[in-house]
Amino acid sequence: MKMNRREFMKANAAMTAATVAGLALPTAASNLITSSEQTKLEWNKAPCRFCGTGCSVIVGTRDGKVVATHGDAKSEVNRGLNCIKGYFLSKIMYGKDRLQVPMLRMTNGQYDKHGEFTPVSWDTAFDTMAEKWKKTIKEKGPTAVGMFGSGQWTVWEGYAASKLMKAGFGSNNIDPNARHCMASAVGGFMRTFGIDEPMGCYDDMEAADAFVLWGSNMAEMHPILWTRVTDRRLSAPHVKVAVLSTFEHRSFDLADLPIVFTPQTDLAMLNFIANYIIQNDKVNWDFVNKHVNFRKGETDIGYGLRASHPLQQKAKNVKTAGDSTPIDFEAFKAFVADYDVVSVSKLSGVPEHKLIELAELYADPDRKVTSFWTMGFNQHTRGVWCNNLIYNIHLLVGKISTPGNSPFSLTGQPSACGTAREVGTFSHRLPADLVVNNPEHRKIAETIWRIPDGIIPPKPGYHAVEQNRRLKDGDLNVYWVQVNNNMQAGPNINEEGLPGYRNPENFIVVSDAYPTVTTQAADLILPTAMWVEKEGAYGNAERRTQFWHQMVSAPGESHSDLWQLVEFSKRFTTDEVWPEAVLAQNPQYKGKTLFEVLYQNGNVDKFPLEQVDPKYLNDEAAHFGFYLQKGLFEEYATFGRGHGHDLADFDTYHQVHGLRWPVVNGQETKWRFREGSDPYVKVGSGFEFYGKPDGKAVIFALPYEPAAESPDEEYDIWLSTGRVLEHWHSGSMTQRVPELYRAFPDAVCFMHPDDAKKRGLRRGDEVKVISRRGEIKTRVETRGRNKPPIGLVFVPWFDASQLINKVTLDATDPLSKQTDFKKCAVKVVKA
Amino acid sequence: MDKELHVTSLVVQVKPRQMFNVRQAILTMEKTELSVNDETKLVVVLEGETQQELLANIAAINGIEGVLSAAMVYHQSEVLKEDEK
Repeated sequence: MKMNRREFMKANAAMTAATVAGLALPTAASNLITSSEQTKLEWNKAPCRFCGTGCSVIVGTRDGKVVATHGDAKSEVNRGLNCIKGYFLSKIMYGKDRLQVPMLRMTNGQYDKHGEFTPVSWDTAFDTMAEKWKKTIKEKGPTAVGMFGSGQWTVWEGYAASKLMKAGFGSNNIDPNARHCMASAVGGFMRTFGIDEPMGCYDDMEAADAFVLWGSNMAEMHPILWTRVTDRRLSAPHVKVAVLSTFEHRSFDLADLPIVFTPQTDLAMLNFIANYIIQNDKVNWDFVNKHVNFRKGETDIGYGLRASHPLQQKAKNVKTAGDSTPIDFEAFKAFVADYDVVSVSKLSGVPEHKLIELAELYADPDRKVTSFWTMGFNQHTRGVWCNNLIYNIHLLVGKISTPGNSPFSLTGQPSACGTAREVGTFSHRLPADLVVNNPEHRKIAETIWRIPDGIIPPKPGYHAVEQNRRLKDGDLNVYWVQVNNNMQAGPNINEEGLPGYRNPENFIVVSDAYPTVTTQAADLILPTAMWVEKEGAYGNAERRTQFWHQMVSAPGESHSDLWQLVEFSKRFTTDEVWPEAVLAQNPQYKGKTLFEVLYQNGNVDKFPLEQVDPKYLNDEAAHFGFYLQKGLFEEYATFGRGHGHDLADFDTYHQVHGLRWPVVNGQETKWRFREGSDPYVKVGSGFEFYGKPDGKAVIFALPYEPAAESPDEEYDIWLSTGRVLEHWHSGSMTQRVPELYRAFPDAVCFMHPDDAKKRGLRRGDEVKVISRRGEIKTRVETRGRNKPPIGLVFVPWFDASQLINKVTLDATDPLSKQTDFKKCAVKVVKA
Repeated sequence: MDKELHVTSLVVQVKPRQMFNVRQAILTMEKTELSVNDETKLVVVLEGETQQELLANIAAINGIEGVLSAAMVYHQSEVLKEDEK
């Protein structure tokens, strides 16, 4: 039989999909495609650019351009599948409005804050920047210098940035946009376990008997993981899926136990489950006695607002928000006893029988439970508490660190874990869970970095929301933003975002591949290479570190964030930025450039150009004259090796499809804290939570406390914000793909039909969504895949023409400093 | 005139009791072919002259009652010569 081309393509497509679905004889998808004689493409692996799942994709290039991508059949994460965002990866780099030259606001050939964006050379751009930085440091000191990065930085970009700020400029004012996304999860891990990131891994999905989604719309936000959950649910009929949210969304399609609850009452439901477990004698005593301590946390801790805000002034324990005191089991039992089914049902609006059914999933000793959460828990003024309380439940029944028993915090960004958290690009952190306010930790960092004592400041810097406030107040004056769109993504941008960027005292630099709301608010825009235009590494939500090679060159004069950071460091000498006293004691550093002391320090420049694989481009190595990425990675890995954060050697990651840390003796770790699975757990202990000095995890007594702002007579409805499948984050990349843009062009206000009727509104009507802080115009949608209950509206935030963050409140979790984008009070009126 | 041909394949996850209905619904769609399936998974091959056309059909499949997810596996686009079928 002779096939024509169309038939051949379709046969290929069918066979590949059948293979992935397990419906035909296994043949690797990539073999099929490369054997197709019509496609003379070069194929290489790279993790997807978008979410925290960490799907591996196979990228096809031809003539220096990415032209195709498909799911990597050899990846344990996505097993050949791709979601709609990953499907269009090949297009994100080729939007017509890609930035290609540095642009400085100028009038008559001079920098002018009110001038027009004018193309300039990199030299002019960096000279202007350096002048502003030096003047600021001289006049106001290093605390007036700031940087805002991202969980989309590659591992070495985040590391180079952290070094430049903390070891170069001596400022801890560096924070990632992961603060908006993951900070509460980090806080929860550190408080309960003393070490960051999930103990389990994606393999839990094939072993669990029940899944509980706490504020996570996996069907749209993590579609590929959702196909694995769906597979498990459909292939094993005893498996139950509970989906909890403040409104109904696509994940409810699979739910056996759908639960819509009143915002903020998740705290009470979590405590009810703990109470139910105790009252019904379902505590796993062997586990609790050996591996758990009980503590009572501080309450009435405020809402992370400005100190002048009435809510802050009313709160009693703002200064001691993170404190806790030891208690025993009986005290914990008495504490949660208030959370009975009757009162919690009344508070949450969830029927009693559903609460009991939910609690039973955790209490039943024969059922393995995996809990998933993302922004519903994390973007919460009690986000750290939510994280602590879900661990309480898993610890009480000992359902943790074994296949299928997994409290699993999912991530939103491709390297929220790998870069923001593990490298420690937060204002209080250093690599491998070290923190700046611990003198021993600073000493470790200064030793590895080969810099003198006393360079890293002990005081944590400004976190994300505080940076905006300080820019507005004029305390932070030179500011560099990389790989994110904070003027769209940050909260309350009318009052706390834009005023700081446009403050005449300030100089704002934004590095990006495309024009965004943030680049428009900047004074200098730097064109930036993205994804496979550079060599990179990301770490996903299951501790998997994945590498990729540079496959194509960036357009025009674009350079990677890494190139920008390291090149900029050449413009400073230690005498201009380091304290005089430190230099007097360490004269050998005098007169050296920051490039020399940070990146030519014997570690970072250790690996010669010859070690770069000649098959691939590496623009940074070629420019600086050594294998920069390898040097940065190997120096960084020194922090974690032997300390529970072990990474494999650099070259290994280019060969494998990712490895989950700690990687000890070449072996990855699937489940941490359990003997036999985690090499750090002592023989005979069974389990060991070695992040804590006594090896025990902590169960915390923490109450329900109300939201920062709730609906009242005037602002009579809850507003929740979030994403839709077709767009990721602020849409700065996905909106460049016409097909994705057309699939969901403009944001709408999802509303219950009865709420619309009550306000005299009909589907499609133009409305204003108004809060005490600002308003936007949008349209009412009473149908569609997001179905809010009466009393709540949902508005996605990807749409730059409808900035919903003019409306949101900048209330944060006092412990994690993460913003609550899920709750504030608004009114909706006809426009 | 030469024209583009886009081909893609999906793995569609379906509630078991609705597999029959989902198959029927997809059968009525143009440029969409059913391939193998088991109780919960169904392979669908789509073709179109533009990616936009493919995407519209994927959205339509996603919207069928009983469809839990539709993930993409394979995509190839070629320019067909005028006389090619």
